[in-house]
Amino acid sequence: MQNNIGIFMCGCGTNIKDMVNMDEITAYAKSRPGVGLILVNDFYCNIDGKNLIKETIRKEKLTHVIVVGCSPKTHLATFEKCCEEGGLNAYYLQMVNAREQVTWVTEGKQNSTEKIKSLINGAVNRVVVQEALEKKQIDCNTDVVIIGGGIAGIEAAILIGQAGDRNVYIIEKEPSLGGNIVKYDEVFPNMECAPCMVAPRLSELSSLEKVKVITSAEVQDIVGYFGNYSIKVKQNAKYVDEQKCIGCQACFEVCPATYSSKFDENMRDKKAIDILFPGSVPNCAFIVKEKCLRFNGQDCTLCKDSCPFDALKYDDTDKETVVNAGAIIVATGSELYDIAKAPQYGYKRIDNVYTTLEFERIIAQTGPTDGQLVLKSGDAPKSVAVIHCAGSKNKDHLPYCSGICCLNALKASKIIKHRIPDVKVTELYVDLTLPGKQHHDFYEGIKHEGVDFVQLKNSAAVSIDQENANIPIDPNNPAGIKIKVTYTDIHGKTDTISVDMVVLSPGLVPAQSTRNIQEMLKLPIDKNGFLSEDNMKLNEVSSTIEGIFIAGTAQYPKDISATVNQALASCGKVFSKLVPGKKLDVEVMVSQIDQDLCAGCKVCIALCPYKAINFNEDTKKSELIDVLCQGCGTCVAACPSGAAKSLHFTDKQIFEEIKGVLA
Amino acid sequence: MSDEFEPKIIAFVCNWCSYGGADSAGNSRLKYNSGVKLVRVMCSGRIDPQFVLEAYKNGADGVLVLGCHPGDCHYQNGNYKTLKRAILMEKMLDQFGIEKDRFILDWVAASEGQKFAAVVNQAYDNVKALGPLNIRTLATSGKELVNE
Repeated sequence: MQNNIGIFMCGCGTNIKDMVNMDEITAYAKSRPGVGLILVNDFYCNIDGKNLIKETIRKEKLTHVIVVGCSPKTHLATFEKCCEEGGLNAYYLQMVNAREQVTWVTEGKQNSTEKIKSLINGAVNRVVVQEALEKKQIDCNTDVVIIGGGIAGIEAAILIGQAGDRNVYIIEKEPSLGGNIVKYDEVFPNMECAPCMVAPRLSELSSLEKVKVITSAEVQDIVGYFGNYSIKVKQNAKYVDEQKCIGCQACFEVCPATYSSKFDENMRDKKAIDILFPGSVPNCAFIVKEKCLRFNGQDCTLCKDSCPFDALKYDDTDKETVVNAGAIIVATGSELYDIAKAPQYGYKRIDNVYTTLEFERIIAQTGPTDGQLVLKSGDAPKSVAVIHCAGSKNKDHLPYCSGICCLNALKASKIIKHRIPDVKVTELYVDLTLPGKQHHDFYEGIKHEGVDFVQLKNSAAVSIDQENANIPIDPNNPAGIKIKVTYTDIHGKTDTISVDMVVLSPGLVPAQSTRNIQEMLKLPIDKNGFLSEDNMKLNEVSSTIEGIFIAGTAQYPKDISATVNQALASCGKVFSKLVPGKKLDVEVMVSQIDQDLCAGCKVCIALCPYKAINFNEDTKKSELIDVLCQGCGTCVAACPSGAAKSLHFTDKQIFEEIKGVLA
Repeated sequence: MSDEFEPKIIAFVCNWCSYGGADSAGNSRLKYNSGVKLVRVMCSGRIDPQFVLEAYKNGADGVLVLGCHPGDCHYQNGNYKTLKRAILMEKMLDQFGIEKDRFILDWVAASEGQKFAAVVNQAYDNVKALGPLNIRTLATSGKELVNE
């Protein structure tokens, strides 16, 4: 078919019209090969202008359209729509940016006229080698998998579960949902009881029909793409029937085997059959096989004998299941930096030196001392040092600020002062990071309560040792052993204080499960090992892979409210992108790999930021997964065989444009 | 029209940052020479070294490759790949006898109208000082290259 290009020359009011020699442009454009007509109009973006384009396409049977006017950034979508409504494939359109990139930036009418002429020539050359592309849609699964059952996962599961329009699977490695937050006693700034805050949320979650809780489970593999993921999950045997057990504790009491529990930061023993914490979800006991007498050669059936519900299943086995979902929310979180790696803090070396998390367990009602704030000796401390930035802002440990540890440290002081009013508390800090609605007030309140603040020269300017044996033992401190905290303050003065207890406030690092999922999905990470987001300002909730969202501290350290916000935001993405009954639009301007030309060198696979290219081991060729491709064309520029092609930005189209504008 | 040399310059720009930067220059009415013409691609990572050569072959006296600032790429890291290619390009162009100032890689954000105008004006001035690139003469007079 013969080309019949229609050029729509917009005057843009006076923005273009008065700045060029319109007759010269139209005469030139009309002389270009394949150009059937050129129409000048004051505006094409208003209703009359758009209708004129549509009607002209139909009436004149245009094969291609060029709009000479503003930037495609402003109106490409407008004119694409005109083409479609006029019955022409939108990819037969080309725009010439005659306003932002010519009349607004060029001195002299003649210069503008000449430049527009050459750009039109480029567009005429290019548009005739453009190819019609079809908008594509794929069927998708709208179910959601949430990996991680901490507060981010819980809140996301509730929000999606409440909609009731799809299944939500929440996968947690521990035997219960809850994550880190249930280990805290009180949370800043309002000092709510964290377990009390979480309990009704967990009960809400349990009541939601479409939320499926999978605990003691680990993700083994993830395959697929946005709209169609398959997640392989291994669920470890609990040896207790979740359907029968109600967590009544009858079995815990009779169990003779104990072990040191990680949940209590190894500060308290748990029974070999136990629940994680009161109010666990599911509220089901589990046997720790390695510690259970029965699984270690003894014929113990005490738990089974004591169970009023016949819930014990000694023959239970690990199960592998595959869950299918369209989107995945990664809410695998973070953990405290192992401050034992910085020996100067005396952690694990000196008694009564704790992290903020251990401190939380000590004061928690469900913790190792049943909520008593005491030293190892059982006595209450008379003096405590709380140390900010333990290992943070230190290039040998964590070079960054986690942003939450200041509040954690201040909260420890507040609790200590509250429990033991005459205690002497000293906070050693470098800077106070206290943004947020009430955080600064929180600090002012603690200062008012008589906590001493000492500003350190830098985060490394503190060291903790056992008190020198030569110093006489304090008769008021029967435990006898004090801790010596030596520091250099902001003025360069070195001093030492003696205290009974030290609370260290370290920063956060990605949890092991975050690292596992990151490796499994090959998600990009930042220089500190946290998951990279799609866009730091506009899209923190999406990872760089379509359909994989991030919620909470797996992305970077943040407090509970920010974590929950991100979790809820990730649900917004899910709701907007995966709508039951609706197909999924996929990017049209993607790459293609010609299987006849591909030499299987894999250069493209290494370059693709979206993991959108697979190597087919049978054919030894690279294959494009077009639903994952975002159309950057990096693979095309690199392909040595010319097998990769960028739709709508093919080599040929760009060569033609180059030739045209330079002619 | 005078016979004064007016350079032809092609700027390959990414859709998200540098094309937006050029539009910003327009929004601020910042002037640059009309001999500078833009070719839009989605990502600077799409810019095949062949595009640059094709531009010289068709009469460009200078070529600019403009992308998002490192770390800002719309497609994660396409601009890093562009940077690597540009380093190779520079070495190769030098061997062809094409002066360094005729090939410029730079980063222009969508908000950086000022920077866009400054970069293209500088490129224009540099190329104007060098004079026309007669690639056909270069290609046929191998002697000149050898003598260098």
